[in-house]
Amino acid sequence: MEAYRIFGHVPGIIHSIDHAVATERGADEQSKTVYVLLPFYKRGNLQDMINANLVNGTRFPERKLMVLFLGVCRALKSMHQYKGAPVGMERMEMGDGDTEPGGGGRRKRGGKRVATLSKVNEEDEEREQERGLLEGEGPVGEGGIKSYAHRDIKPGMGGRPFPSVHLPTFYLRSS
Amino acid sequence: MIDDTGSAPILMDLGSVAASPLPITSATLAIATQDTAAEHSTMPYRAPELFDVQTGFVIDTKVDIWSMGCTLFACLVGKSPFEMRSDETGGTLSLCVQGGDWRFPDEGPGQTGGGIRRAGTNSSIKGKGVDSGGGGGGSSASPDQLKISETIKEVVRRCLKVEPAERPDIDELIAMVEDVIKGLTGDDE
Repeated sequence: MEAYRIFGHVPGIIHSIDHAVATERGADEQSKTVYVLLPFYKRGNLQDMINANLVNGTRFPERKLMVLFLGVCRALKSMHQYKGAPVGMERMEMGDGDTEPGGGGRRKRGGKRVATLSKVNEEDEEREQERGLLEGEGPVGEGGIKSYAHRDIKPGMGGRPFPSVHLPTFYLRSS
Repeated sequence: MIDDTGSAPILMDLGSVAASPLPITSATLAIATQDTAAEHSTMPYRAPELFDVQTGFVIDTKVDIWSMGCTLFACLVGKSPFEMRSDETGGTLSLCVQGGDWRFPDEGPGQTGGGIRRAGTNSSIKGKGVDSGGGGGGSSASPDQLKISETIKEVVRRCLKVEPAERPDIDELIAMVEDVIKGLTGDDE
């Protein structure tokens, strides 16, 4: 869940629409199930495309495939070289909210952060450009670069085509 | 992993995401990491270092590079290189992965794809010995429809190095892929 929040703003990485934590009926307090509501992509995933190719005896046009692959690489890069949330989030935690107009008001943690999400999107594009400039300069600015490994890259991820929702479950280990 | 809206890929299934690098400082952590990998990541696409996590190792983002290599291969061929290899040889998937035992379908044991790559690949794979790059066929004229550009194959080869340090990092991979795309302008089949 944390991961969905961290990367929610990154283009090319899925964002969660909503989530809920539920305790199964009859289960003890410790075992909670987190339901995450994710966007539905009607074109399916890469595995579906591979399967379609196998069935039809067709292949990916190489160039198209590599362009697609490059897109995945770029998304993965933003995870491997995570530069912090584009808007106030990361900075806010570092305590220099004054670089953002109105940053002071957003220092509150927890649930408040969700409220800033629409703001995040607005400023996304702007930050994108800025990020482009920072690239190649190594660890820059507040907090430097954190790195995350996805650890489960494969063609066929994600939910099955449920009508418009997809509810994977994640089990919380602690808290 | 990729959902497709138009032509934009989307990375998903973030349940497995972990901070990197993760130094394996204790046997307990080694086992925990291995268990997590077994639970969260898919075997044919899982990097060799996650099959047998050793104390003293560092698990980092190179595991994703491996998976990217498997993914690209799967797009070209139809399934993970190690699924294919273990189907062919009857060996277990994990042995194929940890031995780096895979190859392109048009590069059978008797065939010569190009001596250079054989040498290169074999050097990183000890005890493989199935396909020795002997012979001297110049062009890798593949018999069937599976003709894959040499440049793309090279990307896969680079990603599927058993030794994580030998794999490119994401920047290098992006640069490679960009080069490949440049080289592919127009030519499609």
